[in-house]
Formats: sequence, structure tokens, C-alpha cells
Amino acid sequence: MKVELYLNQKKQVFDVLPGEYLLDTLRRYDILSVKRGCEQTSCGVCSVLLDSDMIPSCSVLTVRLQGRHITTVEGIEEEATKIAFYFGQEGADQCGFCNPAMALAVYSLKRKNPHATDQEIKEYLVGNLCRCTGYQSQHLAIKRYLEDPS
Amino acid sequence: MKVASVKHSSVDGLGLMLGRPAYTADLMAKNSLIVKVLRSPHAFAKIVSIDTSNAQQMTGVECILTAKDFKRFAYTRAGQGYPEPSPHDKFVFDEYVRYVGDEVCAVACVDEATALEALKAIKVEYQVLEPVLDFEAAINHSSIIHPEPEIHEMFPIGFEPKKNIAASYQMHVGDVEKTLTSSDVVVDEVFYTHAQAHSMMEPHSVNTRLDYMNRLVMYSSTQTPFHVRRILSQVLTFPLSKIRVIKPRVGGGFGGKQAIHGEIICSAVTLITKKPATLTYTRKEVFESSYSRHPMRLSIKLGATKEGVLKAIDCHILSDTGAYGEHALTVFMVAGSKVLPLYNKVDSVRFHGEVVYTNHTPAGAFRGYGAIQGNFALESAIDILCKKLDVDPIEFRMKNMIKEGETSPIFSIMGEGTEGTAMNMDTCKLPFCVQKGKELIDWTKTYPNKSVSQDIKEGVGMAIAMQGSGIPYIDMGAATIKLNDDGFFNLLVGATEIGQGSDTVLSQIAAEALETDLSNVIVYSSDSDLTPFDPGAYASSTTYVSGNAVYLAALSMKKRLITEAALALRCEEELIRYDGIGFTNTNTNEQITLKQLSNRLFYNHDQKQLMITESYVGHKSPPPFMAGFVRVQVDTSTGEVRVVDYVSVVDCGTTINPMLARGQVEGAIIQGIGMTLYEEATYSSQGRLHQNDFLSYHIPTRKELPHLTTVFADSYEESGPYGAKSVGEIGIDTPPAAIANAIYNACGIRLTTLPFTPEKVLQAIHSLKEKLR
Amino acid sequence: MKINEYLRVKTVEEAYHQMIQDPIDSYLIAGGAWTKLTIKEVQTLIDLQDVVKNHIEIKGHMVHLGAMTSLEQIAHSTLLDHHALVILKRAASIVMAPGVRNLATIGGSVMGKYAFSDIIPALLALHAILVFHKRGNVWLQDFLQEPKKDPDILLEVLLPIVPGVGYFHAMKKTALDFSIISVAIVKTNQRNTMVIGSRPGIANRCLQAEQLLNEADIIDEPFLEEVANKACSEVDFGTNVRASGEYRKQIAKVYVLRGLKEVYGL
Ligand SMILES: Cc1cc2nc3c(=O)[nH]c(=O)nc-3n(C[C@H](O)[C@H](O)[C@H](O)COP(=O)(O)OP(=O)(O)OC[C@H]3O[C@@H](n4cnc5c(N)ncnc54)[C@H](O)[C@@H]3O)c2cc1C
Ligand code: FES
Ligand code: FES
Repeated sequence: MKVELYLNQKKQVFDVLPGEYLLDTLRRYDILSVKRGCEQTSCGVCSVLLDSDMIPSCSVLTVRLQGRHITTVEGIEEEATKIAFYFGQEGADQCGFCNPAMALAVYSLKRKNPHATDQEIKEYLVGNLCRCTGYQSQHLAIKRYLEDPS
Repeated sequence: MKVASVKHSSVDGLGLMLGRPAYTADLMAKNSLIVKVLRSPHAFAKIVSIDTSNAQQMTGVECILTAKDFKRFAYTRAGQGYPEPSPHDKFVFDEYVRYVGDEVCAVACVDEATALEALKAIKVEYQVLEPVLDFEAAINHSSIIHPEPEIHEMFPIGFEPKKNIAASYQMHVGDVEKTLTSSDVVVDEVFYTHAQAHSMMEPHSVNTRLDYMNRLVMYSSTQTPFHVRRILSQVLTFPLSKIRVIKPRVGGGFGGKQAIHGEIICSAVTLITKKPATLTYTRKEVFESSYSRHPMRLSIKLGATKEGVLKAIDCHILSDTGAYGEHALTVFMVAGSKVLPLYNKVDSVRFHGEVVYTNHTPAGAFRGYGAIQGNFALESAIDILCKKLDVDPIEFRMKNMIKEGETSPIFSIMGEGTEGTAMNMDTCKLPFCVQKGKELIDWTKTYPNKSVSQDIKEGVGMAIAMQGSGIPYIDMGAATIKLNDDGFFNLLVGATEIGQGSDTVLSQIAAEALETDLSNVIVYSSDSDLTPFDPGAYASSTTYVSGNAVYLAALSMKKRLITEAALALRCEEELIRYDGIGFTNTNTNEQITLKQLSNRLFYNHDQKQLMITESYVGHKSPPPFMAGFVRVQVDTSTGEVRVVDYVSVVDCGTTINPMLARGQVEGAIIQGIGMTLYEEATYSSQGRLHQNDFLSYHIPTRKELPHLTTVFADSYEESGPYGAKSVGEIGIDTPPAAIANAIYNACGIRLTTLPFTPEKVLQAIHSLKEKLR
Repeated sequence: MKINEYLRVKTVEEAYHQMIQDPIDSYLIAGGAWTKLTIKEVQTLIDLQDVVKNHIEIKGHMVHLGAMTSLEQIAHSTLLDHHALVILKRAASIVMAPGVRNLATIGGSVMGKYAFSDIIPALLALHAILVFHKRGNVWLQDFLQEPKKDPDILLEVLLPIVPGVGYFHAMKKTALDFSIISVAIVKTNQRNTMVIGSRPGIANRCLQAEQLLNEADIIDEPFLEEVANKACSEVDFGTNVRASGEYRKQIAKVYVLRGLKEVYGL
């Protein structure tokens, strides 16, 4: 089946089987920032933005997204570079496997709730698991990014 | 120092954040065959027959591999140096399956859907055998898990497969029984630890292809690329010279990627079909079919005088290695060798036990590597002893623990499966760690507890720990530094970056020694064709062992540069002053920049390539030390435990990159807290692992995150690069005991079986109430 | 997933027609989150996204939740800031994480009749009414107890707006865990409703305990303790991998009492 959607603002046609999940479609089309961690809706490393909402791409059938907007980290490179800067400053990046999805999550948090409290940051990102960092350094980096006026 | 010992962002974080292809699965060849493994539904069974005929006929099935396709060769997947201290008890495929998830056969197909269909089409007839599911009943069980005659040990490790014993060991100093009998106070306790899962975010992944010269080129998410190459060559009888193993970025390992996982099967597919192939574990396979931490029963006896002097430690351990003996002996020994020396002033000490086979998911290397289990038992027992003696647990430790300049006989007796190496503690800042931690947690204000509300009690607890820095006289790391035109360097290391930041830290060491900027050092790691050897990322060895190799290589390079500069500036080498940017002939003040010198060496005069390789083998394994302090709140009506604060004060020598070092400690602390409170592995009566996904296996989320404080002691280890010891593992050791002690202090219950689920906590609270009634 | 035919219906009737014609091989998908975890193969997948409402509105004395409203919408809706309705927000906001909640719908949460559900206890305590395409209005409580009926399509969930206060608590080991036990309590001027979920069976009302409360003259701590005891003795608790029935019973009692004290301001 042909599905037309806006990937990172660009209209693109994807040829998919009706049962294919978005994660598989994206990786098949070389969008490799979207990682495969569990394929069970429970780790968050496959997160993308659907319109402005974060969703686990491993759990959404691509056919259902006809005409919708999908954003991956490739589409927010400038913001992600800023986020990476703050992560680097706090030593919040270790293996990096959780990071592209984390960047998207943090980016969308800033758009939805730029003045998020500590608790709100944790609530918003709770589904983005990270086994390496212990979260505290990420938390500090995220706070500094939220405070970044630019 | 300007590059080492300063906070520096990782050299690779940006590209990874931007999602650039970097991990194994990102780098597979297009149109790779998809390899899937058929796994055993039984905990223990003999395969009577495998009928692959239906699957063979399906379109899209390119290759089916069964035991018949491999020479019968017993090996170990452990991923250790050679000869391994782990028994050679594994065949690629065998006629027995020994745990739910064990490998039966494999298919390689044009796509995943076909592969899954093909697996379904394969008919296997099993003769189900009685499994061994209780590790305490494994020895001399009527079921023998490894009856096959070909399996063997590489050197004596106490291997007795007929009794279901994978390894055993015993050592003693002095006469423990005697010291215990003459002790004023004796503690005798038994502790149980469980099979924690590594839960790295990237599942195990491998892909293979034949290059145009018919060499097998593999990308693998491994911690031990060079061991993988060696073992692969042995098992497939394929020449070592025709294998290239590349370790790209690895999405976390923690020991879980030290062993061989899909590499052999995937390679076999490529060698047979000549096509590229890929095998990525599902999350379920990661849980069920890779490996976990060794569950243990630790029986500890302590003897002390009534004045509070520890006299004897007696430790017996029964360890469950699961179906295969990967790291069986060594993890078990580390539970003694990197724990018992903490109290080095005892008159006698004994350490002994067995590592048994069961029909569980195998156990293997995991950050902490036995030390966390041993630490839980010993440091809990010490607090129990202090209670009995009615002495302050901090004072007791200050009096009895190991200090700088001291040693322990255990260092020379116990090594990694062999004899150890005697050493003095040239750096040991434990007293500082304990004092500082006590201050930072505000111990005196809370100890032992205070009430937060009618139901909630707050308590503080602590534990001390040690680890090692590499395996002396065994593991060798090497580094190559290459000068380029324009004056920048390539740093080629075998050392395996798996997220711990070794590419950054090793670059910093090189830059420091070369007196240049970090951006002038381009690091490339772990490619068996291009980089020098390294054992891999394990045993807390990278900063210390590989770091020393980098340091030596950088110094040699600097020396060579000075030689060349002297030639260029026509003077004696002694007259050359080097400042990182250029060279000065101090007699004439004539100068040449590094950039000019290198361009000259490449294109103009005395043309040559400067490239230097140095290697390093440790002569000791200086332990990092730490004190962990924790504040917990216990809801005494529900049994829920919340960690509020965790203070870590660490002596890891110089922190080459204080920020990354902190990251190692913080990450490890949270993993340790996860093991202590949330992560649980249980088996059904049929031997099926209950928790085989993130919906049932709960690693901590950021909502469980306590406030973490991490402080480093001022410490300089002479033998380490720029004074560094290791920091990768030490952080994980203290949480189980510190939290157990804090819960005891909060509400008087002593928990001895991990993890401390709310249910267990509440049960203990109820039994205590019963007892007090 | 393996799907033979994907049907993005244009009307509810079209979906209904397909379900009735071929009930065995057709499958309705709303958010698809739970479907992803449980369903591997479907003949005809019927996508409801264009025909079932996905927003919340207030009409008269009722909150109308379109069945396709996501749990994340519910967690953030200011329309639910009134009275005991906040317990639905609280329940929605602890289901996994925002990513999952952006997919998961209220309709899927109800129709699945999940025993582990955090949503159902809250809805039960709020006396939710389900609006079906064919059957019309059905009390959630009746729906949960009835045997499997012919396929139908859930259009809306209605919640009466009644002045009162509510309590909701779900105990989880970590934030991403399923509940070991959940407790929902609603106190209005007319009546009290108490629900215990994740027992681990499907959520149950504690009718006898409710009656005790409704008939009481003086409410003090010992009395509330009696009510909590009653509540936990009239529903069954079972054992699964997450916790034993015995433990569930103990903590249910604790949380029911804490909830009662909270709603009674004691
Ligand atoms: C990883 C994970 C963890 C979760 N944890 C929790 C938790 O802790 N607590 C909790 O309460 N819930 C939890 N859930 C459940 C989550 O709330 C469910 O995903 C949700 O309830 C189902 O909604 P959905 O829209 O995704 O349903 P779908 O998957 O689309 O559908 C579920 C079922 O409902 C049927 N259905 C859906 N809509 C309609 C309709 N309008 N009419 C008729 N039938 C319909 C479908 O046919 C299907 O049988 C979890 C889910 C996941 C994936
Ligand atoms: S891969 Fe999608 S949530 Fe884990
Ligand atoms: S950095 Fe490794 S999982 Fe987050």
C-alpha cells in the first residue's frame, strides 16, 4: 500500500504492507535515528513526534498515518544540537542509544511546557528509559536547555 | 594538566544525539538475510528429532542451520582471555536443550516475516527431562545437566559436571573455626541475591558479510571484539586472518555483551550462503537467552572481640551459573577477592564454595562481577555484628577496614580463576570517603531513624566497597598513535567504547601526554583489522590498562617528534623545547610548528610515517574504593521503600574526566538501587523466566530517581595513567547492603534476600511485630 | 502484525456492518497500543479514527468523552478539574508514559476490560455510562459483569457531574509498572462509591462497605477502619507474579482507609 505522509516537513510516499509498524518503515527508509529497543511500547527509544505528540513508533501502524506529520531527530537538527550541547556539558550522554528519542522528547516538552517543573520534566520523560546515566545528569541538562532563551 | 582531569564533553555525543548511523543495526548491509533462532520451550530436554523439511521448501528460506552443520566442538561463549577460566561446555547447537530459550536451530530468510513462518514450520520432537530448578538442590541431583563427554576445563577450576558443579574453590588464611570459637561475638547469616538483567537499551546485534576478498567482515555489538574473533575462528575452523570484527557504537553493555551471542550463527549463515546476514535479539531473547547476574546464596560468619575488633570472616557461596558455566568460577571468586580484603586485619579468613549448573538462563559477566553479591552479604553482616556489639557501624568500619599502605593476604592468593598478585594499597582514601559521606548524608541528624509521619519511617545506612582495575599479568591493552600531515593524530585503540566514555577518556590521556588539544586527537576503536589488540571492556580495565598503553604510546610519540624536530632544527634533542604547538631550538630560538614538522615529514625532508604502538600489562590491580550512604523512607503500612538520597564518595585515583567519572558512578548507583528494590527475576515451576520484557522487569525510571551526590576523593595512583584507577564498576557495589542497613535502621527489619519488594518488607515488618508481641 | 485488509471506515455504520458480517475475522482498532502487544494476525482491521470522536465536552450535567479520546488528553483536560472527576485525570496520568497515553484511548481502555486497568476503577467510581452504536446506553458496571455480547462500537463514555470529592491511588513498583492494587473512592452528597482494582481480577465495587458508609451517622476513624475492613473482606484478592493475594488485601485496606480519611477530611 502507498501511504503519503510528511516526514520532517517533507511530503513522502512510503510503500508498506498494511501490518507494518512505523518503526520498521522508518528504518527501512534509512531513518536510523529511530532505535529498536523493545518493540513492546515500553522503552521509548523508538519515539517520534506525531504532529506535536510523542509516540512510540514501534506501536503505530504506518497505514494509519496517511496525511499526518512525523518528526524524527533528523528534522530538528538545530535544536537537537543545542540539546546535545547541554547533555555534553553535564556528561548526560553515555552509550547514546536513548539519545535521539530523548532529544525529541525534550524538544517537544519545551514546546508544550517551557517552564516545566522538576516533577513535570520527570513525568513527561518517564517513558524514555536510560540504563546508563542514572538520569540525574540528563535532568540537569534538560533543565538548562529549558532555561536557554534562544 | 590541561586536558586530563578536566570536565570535557564526550567526543561523540553530538553525532549520536543527531541519530547518525552508528550502532550495529544501523550498519547492516541492505538485503541482509534475517537470521532467527528457534529456541527451546523446555527447561531441560533431549532433542529426539528436528524436521526442517517443510521450512526448507518455503520460498524465501535461504538456509537452515542445525547441529549437523557444525563440527562438534566444545567451547565457552564467556569472551575471556585464553585459556579461559570458564568450562568449555557449549556447542553451537547440541542434542540437549538446557533452559527455556536455549538454541535449537536457526533459519536465515529474505525477510523477518518469512523467518518467523519458517521457525513455526520446523517440527522438533523433544524428550522432556526433569529440570534442575532449585540451585540449592543441584549438586548430585538425579538430572545431570551436562552429561556430554567432550566438555572440559582449560585448567583446574573444580569442574565436576557429573555432580552439576561447574566450578569450585576454597582458600583459607589461619584457622577460621578456631578464631570463631574464641570470638566474643559471632554472627552467622545467610543471604540470597537474584538474577539481575543487564537491560542495556540496545539489544544484542550482529551482522556479517563476505568482502570482495572473501573475508568475513562482522559488525557486532560486543564488548570483546578480539575475543569474538578468536572464538569464532576456533568454533567455525575459519582462519583468524580471514575474520574482521568491527565494534561500532554499542548501546550499553554492563558485561552483558562480553560473551558471544549471535556472532557464530550469523557468521555461519554468511559463510554458507555467501550472503550478508543479520541477527538482532528481540527483547525477550535479551532477557531469556543472553545471560544475567549469578544468583547466589552467601553464608557468612563473622567473629569479633567485644571491643569491636573483627577477628574472623568465613564465607561460603553457592552460585547458580544456569545452564552454561560462563564466568562461573571468576564471578564467584570476585565475590571474595574484591570484598574480603576490605577487612584486612582479621586473624583468619576462609572463602569457599561451589558454582552449580541449573536449568536457568545462564549467568555471566555483569558490572560488579560478584563483588556486589559479596558486598551485600559482608556489609550487611557487619551491621548485624555492630548491632550485636552495640557499637556504631561507622566507628567499627573506621577501626577495622583496610587503609593506605596496608595489604591483605587475599590479594596474592585469589586472582581471576588463578593465583592473585600481592600488592599494597598505595592509594586508599576510605577514611576520607566514610567521613565525607557521613557528613553529606547528615548521618548524625538521622541515625538510626526518624519518623516522617505515623506510617513513614526514615533511616540512613551505609556500606563500603572496593573493586579492581584490570586483571594483572593477564589482560594486555595496546594503543597506536599515528601522526598525520597537518599535525593531528589518530589514536587507534582496541579498547571497547560501550558508552562508558573510553573513547573520550583515552583521547584525553593521549592529548595530555602529547600536550595538544583534544580536537587534535582522532580516536578510532575496536576494529580487529586496524586497531591494536585489547581484551575488551571488562574487569574495570579500560582506563587503567588501556589508558596506560595510550599514555606510553603518546610519550613515545612525543619523543619521536622531538627527535624529528631536532633533525629539522639541526640541534641536539636535549635542546628542543616542545609546547604542544611547536618546537624551539633553545639555543637559536629557531622554531618549527608541529604542523610544519608533520608536513615536512610527509612531503619534503626525511619523509616518513610516524606511527607508534605501545602495550601495557598490569602488574597489579589497584582497587578503587568507595563509601555509599543512603537515606530511605519506609512506609511501614505498605512496605514501600523510597530512596531519598544517595551519597557516593569514591576513591578512583585521578578522575581523567570528572564528569564522565561521575556519570559512571551515578549510572551504577541507579542500577544497584534497581537490583535492590525493583528488578526481580523469578521462574515458573516449569523453569520459564517470568520477567522477560520491560513490562514485567522493572528497571528504575526517572521518577524513582533519588537525589544523587557524588564526590571524589583526592587521590593519585602512581601506577595509573595520570594517577587514575578504575571507576566503571565500583558504583554498583554498595546499594544492596547500604539500603538493607538503612531499612534496618529505619524500622528494625533485617532483609537478607534481594530484591526488597514491598511485599517482603511488609512481611518482615509483620513478623517483627509478632516477635515483639 | 499480519493484516490482510485495512479498512479505514467512513461511517460508524460501515464499521458495525463489517463487524456483524464477519465477527471472527474483523478487528476494531482505536489507539492500537494494547493491540500491538497482543494481536499478531488480523484478517480485516477496521480503523475507527475518522468516525469516533476524540474530544471531551460538557453537555448539561454530563461530561462526554469521545471513545477515541486519548489518555493523555484526559490527563491534561481542564474539563475534568471539577469535583471527583479529577480521579479520572489522576488515573489516566499514571498509565505508563505520555507516549503510550498519546496512543491509548478511553474506548480501548474500557472495551478491553483489562484486569490491570487503572482507568476502569476510576470510571466505575464515577458511575460511568457507555454509549454504544447499537445498544445505546449501558452502565459500565453492568457492562463489566455481562457475558460477551455481539460486537458493537463504543461511541462515548458519559460521566455525571455530581458535586463531591474523590480519591484515587494505584500502587506500582515503578512508574512504568502495572498496578498491584488500585483504589478509587468517590463521595458525593447522595452516596459513596468504593472500587478496588488490580486485585488482580477486574475492578470491583465494594457494595457492602458503601452501604455501611451511606447509612452511617457518625464518621470517625475507627468507623472508617471498619469500613475499610469490610471493603477488603467483600472482594476477592488473588496471587500472580506481581504480588500475593494476601499482600494485596493488606495494602488495599491501607489505601482504602487512607482514601476514606482523605475524602472525609480526617
Ligand atoms: C505498555 C503498556 C502498558 C500499559 N499499562 C497500563 C496501566 O498501567 N494501566 C492501565 O490502565 N492501562 C495500561 N495500559 C493499557 C492502555 O491503557 C491500553 O493501551 C488502552 O487501554 C487500550 O487502548 P487502545 O486505544 O490502545 O486500544 P486498542 O488496542 O485500539 O483496542 C483495545 C481493544 O478495545 C477494542 N476497542 C477499542 N476501541 C473500541 C471502540 N470504540 N468500540 C469497540 N471496541 C473498541 C479493540 O477492538 C480491542 O479489542 C497499558 C498499555 C500498554 C501498551
Ligand atoms: S522500541 Fe518502541 S517503546 Fe521500545
Ligand atoms: S545513554 Fe545509554 S541508555 Fe541512555
